[in-house]
Amino acid sequence: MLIFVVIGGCKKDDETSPSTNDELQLQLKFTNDGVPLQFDTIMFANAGGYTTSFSRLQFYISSVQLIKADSSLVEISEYNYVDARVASTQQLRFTLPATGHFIGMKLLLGLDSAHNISNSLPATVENINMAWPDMMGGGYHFMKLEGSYVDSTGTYGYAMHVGKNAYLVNCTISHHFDLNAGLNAKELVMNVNEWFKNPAIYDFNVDGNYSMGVMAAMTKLKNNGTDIFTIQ
Amino acid sequence: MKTKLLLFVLLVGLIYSCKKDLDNQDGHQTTPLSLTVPEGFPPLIIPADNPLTVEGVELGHHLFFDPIMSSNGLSCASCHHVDKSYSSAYHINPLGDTVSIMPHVNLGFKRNFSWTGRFSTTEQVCMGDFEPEFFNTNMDTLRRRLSNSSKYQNMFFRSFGDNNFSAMSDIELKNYIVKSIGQYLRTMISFNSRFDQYLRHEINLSQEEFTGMAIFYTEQGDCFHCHDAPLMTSNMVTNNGLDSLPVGYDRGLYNFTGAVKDDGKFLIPTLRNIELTAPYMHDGRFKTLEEVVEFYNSGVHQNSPNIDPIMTKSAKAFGLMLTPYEKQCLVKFLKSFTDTTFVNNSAYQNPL
Repeated sequence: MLIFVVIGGCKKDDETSPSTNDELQLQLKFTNDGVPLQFDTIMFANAGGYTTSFSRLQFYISSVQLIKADSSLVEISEYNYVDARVASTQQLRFTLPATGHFIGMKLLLGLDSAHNISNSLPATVENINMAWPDMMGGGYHFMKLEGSYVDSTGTYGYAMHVGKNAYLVNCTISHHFDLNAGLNAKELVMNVNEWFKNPAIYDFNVDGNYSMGVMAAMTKLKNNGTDIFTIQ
Repeated sequence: MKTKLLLFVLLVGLIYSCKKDLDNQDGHQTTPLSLTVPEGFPPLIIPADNPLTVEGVELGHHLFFDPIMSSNGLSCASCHHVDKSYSSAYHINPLGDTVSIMPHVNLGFKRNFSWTGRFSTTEQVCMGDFEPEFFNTNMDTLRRRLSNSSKYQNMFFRSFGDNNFSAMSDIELKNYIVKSIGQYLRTMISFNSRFDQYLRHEINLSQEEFTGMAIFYTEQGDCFHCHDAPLMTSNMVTNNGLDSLPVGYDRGLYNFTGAVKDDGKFLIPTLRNIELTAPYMHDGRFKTLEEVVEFYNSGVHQNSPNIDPIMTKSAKAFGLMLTPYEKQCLVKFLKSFTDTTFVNNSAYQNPL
């Protein structure tokens, strides 16, 4: 008993051992360069120079990690499914193994390789609809982003689908924040237009209005996707 | 052997607990019924106010095949033919539109119903069957018929603890009926088509079926986004480009919401037993699977309002460009979704 007391007393102040009630609640928000996302309306300026609408935005977030000041990582989740049209999927709650000061967050847009295996996730309707066919490599769609865009000749659809381990999107968010005992609420904001810019413009008429099975398109989306999230 | 084992598992799943442990307020007891969900299927969706019971399923099964509810001799089975996977070719609605009657297969896994997907339970759909368009039910006549039937007096009491039909309001009686039929429909599970057996590694597909599967499950045909296994439907409501300018019934969900974004949108139907459910689409415009495949190959109206983006991929600008052989293979693959075990299952058929 004495040994346990001594060990406990050696803990640093900024690495307190929280109770199981300590939580981080991430509320997903979606914007297009700051404009709140609204589905089925062609009104959003796209980095490729088009006016766009959104009809579907579904994705997985996995391996959420908090970054400490010394750059060490605290993993707080396995995976979550998010549908931007379904509010009940947009509030992610994580039990915190540590509280204190953090300088950022890392997460995967998609499923880590341990989970990206056909039929490995529970057979919910959502997971079934995200399946990536075995004949195309297997696993799950990491993201489905669909809608329409207008160019000088008319209105066309687009379907940005990303999947397969090689195209897993590594997101890093630099943001200083403190997580305290109890419930901590933050907003995790996706700027959807970031998929189409930085470091490269994604142009539907040049790069293609669909990406599934198109390596160059998925590569561009993967690279553009690293900075889609901010914390507020 | 594996097939027999699976069938046995399902049967075991259908076997109810003999323990009558659902105590109801009036003292009568019902027997909970637990269904075994096949591997890879999503959880069954059971409404909180209508749990499955042995007694409720039995009542619903009898009512489904009995014209007792109608004033025109029709029963549910009049439009949901067993040999057509509980669908039928045509129904003319009050506006004169031709409507294809959807099949009853794996309804317990669905979240939305009817061709526009605007109903969230089978009970809501069944409630419409009392209307003049279908049964044209006279509730007083129905009460009298049920009161005169010792079988239904017994079944209603065992299911709901209530058989005092003369004291029931119209809505109370209708609720009992649609709840029992809803329970029966949820027991109807298809999981033994040739494609199911292939996925379970029990059989191999033919070369033609395999070629069809490769078209179905790649960007070449791109069928999987809307019709993936095991349900063979994503249960989404969308516009697949049937019409460049939908009018009347063809406007789909728009006719109920009035929202332009819903113009031309219909529920994506399951492809299970698709071989048995001709004609195809909400209005039965295609008589054969060959016609359906040709539509997707060369007939999609890419300028249709709200067309699903999946249908307008640039590689499809000139259609799927399938060869005659590839189209033939795709049809062969679609026919591998036929589950004769399901349509021949006597447990679902007419008990009267």
